[in-house]
Amino acid sequence: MDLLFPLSGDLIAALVFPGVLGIFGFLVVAIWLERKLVARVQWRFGPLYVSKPLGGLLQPVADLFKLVFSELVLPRHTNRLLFAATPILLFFAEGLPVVFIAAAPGVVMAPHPYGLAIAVVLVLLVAVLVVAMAWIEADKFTYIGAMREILLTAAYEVPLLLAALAMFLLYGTADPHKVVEAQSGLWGVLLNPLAFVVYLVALLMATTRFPFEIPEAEPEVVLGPYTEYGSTLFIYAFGANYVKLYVLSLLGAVLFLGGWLPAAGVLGVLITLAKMGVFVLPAMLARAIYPRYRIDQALRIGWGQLLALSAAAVLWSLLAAWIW
Amino acid sequence: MITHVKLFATAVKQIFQRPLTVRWPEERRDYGDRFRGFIVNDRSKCVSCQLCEAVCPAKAIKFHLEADGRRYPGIDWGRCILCGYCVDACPTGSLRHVNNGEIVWTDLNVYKKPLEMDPDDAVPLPGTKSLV
Repeated sequence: MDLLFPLSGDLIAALVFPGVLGIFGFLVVAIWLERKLVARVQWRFGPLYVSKPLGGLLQPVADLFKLVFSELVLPRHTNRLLFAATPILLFFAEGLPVVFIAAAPGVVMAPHPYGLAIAVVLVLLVAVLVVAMAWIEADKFTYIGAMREILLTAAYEVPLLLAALAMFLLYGTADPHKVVEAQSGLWGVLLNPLAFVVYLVALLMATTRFPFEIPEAEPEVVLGPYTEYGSTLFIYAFGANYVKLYVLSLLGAVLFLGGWLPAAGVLGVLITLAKMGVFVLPAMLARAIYPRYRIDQALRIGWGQLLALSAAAVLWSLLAAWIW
Repeated sequence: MITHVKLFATAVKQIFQRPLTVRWPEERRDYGDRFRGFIVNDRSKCVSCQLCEAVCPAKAIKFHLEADGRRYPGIDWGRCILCGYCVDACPTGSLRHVNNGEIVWTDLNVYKKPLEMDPDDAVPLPGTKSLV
């Protein structure tokens, strides 16, 4: 362990994975992957001309440079300090749950016996910042986007919490290390498939991926809560969504897919990274597959089938824990 | 549930299929000889009847006086929609489509001013990929 990591585990976690480098690397790769996958499903090539040997992998980096050098507009009728500060706050707040999630044994910033539970709660709390951002922008599109975000958040947060709760009940712990140890026999996805399905759908809703891309529905409300932002602030505002996807897939990989099992150390980190793909790839592909639900349909799914499924998942876990 | 699995299966299947688009400009589509590309005028056949100007729905064609003392049609490419009405209306067949839709103007004046295009400028680059 010490041979593999010249730095200590928490420092690795903070700087490389699942910390800073992981988040920013994920931003580039995820945006490229999303565009490329959707293009291939639609029989197109996708991003290609920037860095042709890499298949256009540097296209998001080029877009990033373009955005950084484009003009930053701070509307006069808004609270300009908050207008500039909220997207940055949002971006880093979305990344905050990563502090409590382990990517390999010892590779965690803050080991805590309730680490994963705290991570889930942090993910849910940050939704408030999106609404705050939309409110600060003082625009009718952001207002509508904020209303939709509130409604959607109310629809997904109970199932998401219940799905996580079901797994915590099953494992009898919320410590990331013990949760993964508990999955050494069977992975969580096999122990409680209902919770996994609920988690996957709730992840799509939480990150407003495609069937639930209601707050930022482009033909209706421009970009919803992100409408007024340009330049660097747009990177922060819109990147926050991808950070949330990153956090939720990491959490899902630890909760349902056995985290770094069956390895440890550097290989364990890579395995965790690969398992995140189980959540990330469907979320990217959904953009090419689904049309957008209306907000009432999404709410009916959230408060209807998804809530019932998540309640059933909790019951399943209680039964399984009782039988064990 | 089974519907969603089928949807994902279709998407995954299509990822591994060949893209229909071409990597322009390395690859070009070969549209055959009857492609309605840009429009050129053969001055030896032109009788200056102005029927093309009358029929143009986009008002792209204007007649202008040339050095030989006759009036010829010129096309404003900012307005032309390549509908081919002028080609159909031409009584002597002097206006015709060329097999090329990819022309780049380096100067806005040439592009905007209703001058004729030289047929030699409109020779198409050979296509490397046939139409699917």
